[in-house]
Amino acid sequence: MVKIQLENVCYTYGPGTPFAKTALKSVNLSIEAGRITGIIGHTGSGKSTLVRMFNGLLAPDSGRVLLDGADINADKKALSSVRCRVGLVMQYPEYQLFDETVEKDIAFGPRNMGLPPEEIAARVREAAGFTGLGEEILSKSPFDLSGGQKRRVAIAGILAMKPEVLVLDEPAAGLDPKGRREILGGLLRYRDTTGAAVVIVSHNMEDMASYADRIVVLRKAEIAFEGAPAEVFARRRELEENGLDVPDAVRIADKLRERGVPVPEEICTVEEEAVYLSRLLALQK
Amino acid sequence: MLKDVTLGQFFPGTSFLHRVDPRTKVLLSLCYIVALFCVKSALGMLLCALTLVSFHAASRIPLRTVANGIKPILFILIFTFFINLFWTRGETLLLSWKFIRIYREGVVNALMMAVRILLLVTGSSIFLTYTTSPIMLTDALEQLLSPLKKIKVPVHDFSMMMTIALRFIPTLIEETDRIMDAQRARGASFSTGGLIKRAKALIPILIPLFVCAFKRADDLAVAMECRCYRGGEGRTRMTVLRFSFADYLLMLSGAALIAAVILLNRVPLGISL
Repeated sequence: MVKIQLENVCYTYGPGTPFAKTALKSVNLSIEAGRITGIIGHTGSGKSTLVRMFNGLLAPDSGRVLLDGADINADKKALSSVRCRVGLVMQYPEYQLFDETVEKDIAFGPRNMGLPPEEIAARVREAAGFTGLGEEILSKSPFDLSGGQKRRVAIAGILAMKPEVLVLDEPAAGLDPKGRREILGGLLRYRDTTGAAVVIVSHNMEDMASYADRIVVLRKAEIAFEGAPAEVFARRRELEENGLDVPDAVRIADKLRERGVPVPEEICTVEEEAVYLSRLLALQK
Repeated sequence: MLKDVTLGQFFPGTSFLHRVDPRTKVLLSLCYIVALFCVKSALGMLLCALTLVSFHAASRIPLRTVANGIKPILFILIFTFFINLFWTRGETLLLSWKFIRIYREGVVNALMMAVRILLLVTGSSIFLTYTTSPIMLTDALEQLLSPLKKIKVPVHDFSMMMTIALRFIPTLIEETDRIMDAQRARGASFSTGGLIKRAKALIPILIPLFVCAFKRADDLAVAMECRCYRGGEGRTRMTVLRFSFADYLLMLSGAALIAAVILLNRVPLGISL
């Protein structure tokens, strides 16, 4: 089911000045409920602008952004309710923490929604659960936590609003592998429990290969192409021309194919590759 | 958005005025300001205006940008105009209606004052802020004020502080925009409710902003120490400023402007004050 639909969305920063810069050029895109959409693109390709379109932080110069078929920019007063339905986690969200305790900080969003206290407390616990924050952390000051924990608190702050669409800009940037897996795994669980649409912007192709159902490639303010991870990563040359990478598994598969090992094109994660190769070796024996 | 502030903004370019030694530009704008305040005749004002127009041509700054820079002072401009118009007493009464009396001197005074402010603001932005990068400007000030080091004024430290402050204004503006967006995404609203509610709504912006600013300051201090920064003592410069022939010529023309204005004050041309 299509949750968010972008129709011919265009956006230019500082129009009419010497610093004018086109960030989006007639972008058409649909985000489906219950699926994880990955957005990749070189720095300055318009990812962060696109992400701000989803919840109306930026309004397109022309074109429409539809949430469940309704234009979100039609009524400016309704935008705050749109922002509760479309949760946006910005890049380096740990810098937005401000309250005395982790619990209060996570509760900021639900409080703005005007929910009753019991409901807020329940949501805070649930959100903390998704991001792997223990009960003992809730009463601490967010400024006493490590970087990774702060990131989890910030993400929990959005999850507590129970958005139908969850948009994350580089949610795992700068974290260690264990932290990445836990945070992305938590997002997967959130998607499975709520059936929300999830959009992840990332530079990490490994993460994209393992978590995304569909990948959208942005190039110079436009959508270059999109498809399932295996389809996108099969176009390795085009990606590399755009300054993007492919996952290690795809690169290894390419090399193996060059040497005559028939690795199927669909394989783009290390795990799948390991399973396939071990089966192949077992057959040969 | 906060980014739309244009007054006091630097416009990168390679025009003649951009390339002039920043110290010359500081001195030249000082001369220009002094001249503006000495002007007592319309002819002198015209001379100042002509100077401005010719330097504007040499700066290649779009006229529209300059015009946009006037917007913030428009209120002051109109305010001073009317204050001078109504409150100047003179000999020739032009208009008298109820308690309002407008004298010929008042009209002249009001016009002169308005033009003076207009020329002052546009002039100093063309001479200095539009065409000189903030770094160059503080560099120039440091060197021009360096004689004060003799009486133990920490000129270098002040100029370094100013450089850093100027350098981080855009960064902090960007940071504020980002934090506001992040809190808006969490359902915060900054433009509804009464005064107290609005003031309270600023807390989720100010605390992260301060935390970031302190962290940045800390990082910067460490980065500077790592590169052996020890204050101004014995520090050499990457770009050494040297006056050229054109610079002396410009400074001379600045002095000439003041002299010409004072001379023109003595020319009786009917409309002098």
